Amino acid sequence: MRRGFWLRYLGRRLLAAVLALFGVAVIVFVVTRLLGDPVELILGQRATPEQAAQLRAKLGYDDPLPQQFVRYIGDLVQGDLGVSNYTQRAVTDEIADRFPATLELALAGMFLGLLWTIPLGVLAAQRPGGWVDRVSRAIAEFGLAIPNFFFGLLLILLFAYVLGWAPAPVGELDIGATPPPRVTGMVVVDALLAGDLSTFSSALKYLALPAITLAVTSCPPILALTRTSMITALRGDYVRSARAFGLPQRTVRWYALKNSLVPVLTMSAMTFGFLVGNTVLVETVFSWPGVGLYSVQSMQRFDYAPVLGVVLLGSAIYILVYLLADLISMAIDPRVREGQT
Amino acid sequence: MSAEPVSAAAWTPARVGSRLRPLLTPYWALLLLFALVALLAPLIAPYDPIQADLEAKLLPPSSAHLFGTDENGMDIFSRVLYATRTDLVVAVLGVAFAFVVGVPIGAMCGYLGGWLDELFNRTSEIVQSIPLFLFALMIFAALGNSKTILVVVVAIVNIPIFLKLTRSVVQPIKNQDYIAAARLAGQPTSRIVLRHVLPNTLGPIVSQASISAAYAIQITAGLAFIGLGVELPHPEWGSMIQQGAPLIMDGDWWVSVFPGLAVLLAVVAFGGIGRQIARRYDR
Repeated sequence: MRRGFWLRYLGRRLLAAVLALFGVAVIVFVVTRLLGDPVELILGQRATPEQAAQLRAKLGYDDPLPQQFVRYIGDLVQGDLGVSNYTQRAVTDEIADRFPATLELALAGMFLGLLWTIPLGVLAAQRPGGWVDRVSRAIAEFGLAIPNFFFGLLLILLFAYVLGWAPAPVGELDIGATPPPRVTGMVVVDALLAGDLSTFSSALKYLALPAITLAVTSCPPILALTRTSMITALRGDYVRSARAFGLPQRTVRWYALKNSLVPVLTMSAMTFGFLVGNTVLVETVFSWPGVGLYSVQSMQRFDYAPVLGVVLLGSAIYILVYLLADLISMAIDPRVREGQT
Repeated sequence: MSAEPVSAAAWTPARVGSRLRPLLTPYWALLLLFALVALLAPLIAPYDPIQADLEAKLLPPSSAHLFGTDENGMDIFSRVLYATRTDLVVAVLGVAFAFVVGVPIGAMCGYLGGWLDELFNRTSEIVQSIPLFLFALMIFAALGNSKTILVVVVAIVNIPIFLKLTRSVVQPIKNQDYIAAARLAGQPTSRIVLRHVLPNTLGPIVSQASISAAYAIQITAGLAFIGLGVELPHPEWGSMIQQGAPLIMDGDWWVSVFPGLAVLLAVVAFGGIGRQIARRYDR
């Protein structure tokens, strides 16, 4: 019976995720075909009417909308996101080239983000209103309020210009440096795989500032949630019993942490899902060669197929990460399972 | 609070003082400061914000130019002051628009339920699963690049927030006795929602409006930072930060830092007020 329930739950969540993806595709379709003129998007505004008419016929924009929609969805399902007007390459390939850099940055940012938010949230919950609580809240408030691109610039000013600890923001590696052989596409990982320690440490230096930027500006909600759910958990009966049994403070804290992890996990997943979208400006500031910078550059070249490709990719990642978090919290917390029956 | 009888005697100075005390926070003072700056920019600004002076390029802060000058020799202090108008107006207009659209639809969804509710709720969820900045890029790609579109973007990303929030605060109210009484008295649904439901939900919604305005300022500055929404030399904080970004490694920090601090302070002011209102209604 348990197994049947699991399968049914899994099926329902998968279906919901697929529907959400479909919904995003519909919105992109509506925004570009109904509100804007896709041919104008591709050619730019300087095209002659004949050119426009020719391209319109060639791409099938004279067909009735439902037919266009079916073809559009069909292309998407096959992973066809159109062709970049600027490089004449398939957008899917261009994105595949750049996505590892974004993933690397997002993973590093998330790692640093969890590293500071969860311990501080746990500590703050020990004594709500105490100094740890107040200081961590001030940091979180600052991180939320400061625009990430401006925080990135301040880090560059301090650590690259004034102190000289970090390199100038020119991307993943020194200009002219040979990147390690491409395996994962993430330079830090590839350098390590190639056993090239000097490239590895150089790549880490380049990664540090943008990752810190993301960690400080995107993760404060995780801190707030860790704090609140820890406070709630510490009020639980089992915590009182554990304390009454004289269990050490650390053990009690661990019990409470385990019980408050599920909402924190969901929030972390949402934060990570949005990191890909949040990297847009950070990548711009640090010339980080990921999909965010790619979408901004394409936008400035009036090359719109890549922009829409990155929009679809970013939404798909958010939906999938969210689905994953949902399934994991189901697996680790019996209460979530009970709630679903 | 609602149980207190309101009479003339209630308006003693001490009482008015305690009512106004929440206004005496640094957040409100900051907001007032920004509002004054926006209104009085032409009177305070020592220079014309778009007056280039090629003799005075990239001067560091001094008594003649409090915040220094940019690459065109424009006075950054004057530009930061004038930019208050752009950023605040875009943010407030965008959020107001989202409020006007999102709140009534959300109230109807929460009150009526049914397939309409399902439709709007699902659509909001899907819109919210598109990362905000990418969504904004798409709208700009489809509709063109202008300040009007910037307001539209700010509005569109905020509509689902207001819609879902209003829906969630209306839902528990609709089963209250006083709503049933109004319905039995034969009042039309629109009147019940407007007179009896919405006023009881205003706290969280107004708080959200202030928080949304804070994010709207971040979004405005962020989009302008990548050249969307406002054109140079029009004074706007995000585009000013962008102008200074390539100069940071030359040590010309003032070009980016002052407009950046202005964004930070404006966001802190709106965000702080939003949280303050939320705390009042939490109890």
